Amino acid sequence: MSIYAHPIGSLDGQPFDLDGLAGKAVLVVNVASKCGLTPQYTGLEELQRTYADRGFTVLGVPCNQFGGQEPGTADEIATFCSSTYGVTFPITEKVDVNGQKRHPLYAELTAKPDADGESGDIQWNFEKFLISPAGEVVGRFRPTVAPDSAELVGALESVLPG
Amino acid sequence: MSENWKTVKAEAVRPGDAVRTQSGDVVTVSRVEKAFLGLPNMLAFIEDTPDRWFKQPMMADADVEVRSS
Repeated sequence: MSIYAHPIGSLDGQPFDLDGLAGKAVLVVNVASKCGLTPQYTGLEELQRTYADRGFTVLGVPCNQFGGQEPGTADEIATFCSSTYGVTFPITEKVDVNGQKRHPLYAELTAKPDADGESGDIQWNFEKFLISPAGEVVGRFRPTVAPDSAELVGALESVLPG
Repeated sequence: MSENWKTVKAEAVRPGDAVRTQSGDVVTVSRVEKAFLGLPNMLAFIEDTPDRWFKQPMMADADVEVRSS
């Protein structure tokens, strides 16, 4: 099933146009503003700027389930992302990624095993899923895998459209 | 009714305990994850209930306030 079958809102409260991602490679990342890994925004934005013209986008998904490190309102999150890291990639509404209230998008994403063959719950902020242009989940990278790591960049380049 | 909180090492917390974090939030521990993010000196308390899923990491030797079930 394509991830685009699971509607999600955008950070401004409007429906997010998931269909607009069809045909693109997408890196879905659960983000947080007050985490030790928050500086990964720099690397994520670098990926966005490097590969956007080749049919790629990062999709940030705020989540407050990990240490309460994404406590802000939508406006606060948006301001933080733009003013601190110059984020240009889209950000969705804040959702749950684990537990009984897990967003259906993450119900599908978390079925994907990581490089060690382990699927299931998101471990922490900044876990990353690589989606192919066909909408299939093709890679899972745990929070400590940096956006500019050879592992992640190699996988990303292998699925770029065209 | 009084609440009987006591201070213990994080590694002594067990499922069913309630832990009060530094922010004052109370985590009802459903399970304890060892070696949080692969760090052997870290653990994480996970609350996994119908109302909330929440994960709070701690140093294993940190002092925490706990209310036993």
